[in-house]
Amino acid sequence: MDKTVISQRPLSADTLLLDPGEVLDNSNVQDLVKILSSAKGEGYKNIIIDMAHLEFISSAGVGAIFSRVEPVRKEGGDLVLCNVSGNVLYVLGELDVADYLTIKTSEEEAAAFCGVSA
Amino acid sequence: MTADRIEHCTVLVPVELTEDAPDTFRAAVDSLIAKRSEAITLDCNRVDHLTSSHVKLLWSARIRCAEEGVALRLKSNSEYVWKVLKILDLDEFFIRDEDVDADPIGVVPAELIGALDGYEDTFEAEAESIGTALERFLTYLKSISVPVGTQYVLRTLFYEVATNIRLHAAANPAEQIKFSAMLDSSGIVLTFVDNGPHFDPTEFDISDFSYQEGSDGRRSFGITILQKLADRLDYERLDDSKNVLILERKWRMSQWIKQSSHSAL
Repeated sequence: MDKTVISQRPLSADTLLLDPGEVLDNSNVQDLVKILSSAKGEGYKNIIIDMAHLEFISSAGVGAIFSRVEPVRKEGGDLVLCNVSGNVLYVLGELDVADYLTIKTSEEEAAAFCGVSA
Repeated sequence: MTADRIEHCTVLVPVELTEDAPDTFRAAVDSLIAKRSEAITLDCNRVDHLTSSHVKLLWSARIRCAEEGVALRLKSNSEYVWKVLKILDLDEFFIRDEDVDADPIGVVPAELIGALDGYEDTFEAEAESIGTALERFLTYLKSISVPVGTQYVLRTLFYEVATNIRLHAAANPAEQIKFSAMLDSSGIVLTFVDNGPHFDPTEFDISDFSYQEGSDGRRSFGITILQKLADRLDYERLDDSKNVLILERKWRMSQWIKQSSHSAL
């Protein structure tokens, strides 16, 4: 499996789950930007990014996520991260963006936060 | 190497006292004394159960520091630790370090680092070449037992600098990047040399968000990452039109203790 492929799976009519794979950097960040941009048009209010497989995120990856948070929240939804590793969390903390982002420990918790029933 | 005294260092007190742990602990204290540290903190935050062997270790460090004129502090969030020392009438011999730093910077004995001879590489400023160079560097870091958390930080610094050089060398993707890493007991120094246009990442004020706004509206965190993750960031433009960027990352003691829970550090 290509470690840069971003997969997506609808959890409900208004919540989309993304799995960015093992790496989120210049090699695939444009794919993420396109998916995030088109999600609104497809009726998704909430975006969950499951980072369970994510081993590395570059500044471009952080920028792509960070820049999408405010537009999503303005539409009454949220962009939620889950299964964030200690290393990724450390970098988000150093960049002073961890408190701004909605971060949940598991996919289930993130889904519940977005109002997706189990 | 200068003869200046280093101000303050921390030694982590081992949780489990394996056969080698006391000697390694004493060696760590002695190495800081030899480096003319002005003060040493013994960090007991991971020690929940203070045994008589722990007390002997603390006391031996207390004696060594007193002999050498080095201030000794003791850090512990556990009132149990302080209670035991009080019962033994030893608490007044240790200055209480109230500065609770979850991830202190410190000195790692050379024997815990697999190699101190450094690393060098040269690669082109294009994506594939950067990717393979990064893999080689990560393999090197693993081979010398650098803690996983530090590997991640170094990976991030390497990636951000190399891709930044690539970005600015767009007119000449065959631009060569010379990279080296030098390790010592206090940290690792990364040096990047390239022939691209002048670009000084130290001149940006990361509290000023205006420069971070990209043309596509996305905020850029590249310079912020470099300034936040590097403990030292120096830039120099040489007369022969070369950029030299030097980044230093000091060892974080908690990452070494996580890697080797029975270590004396």
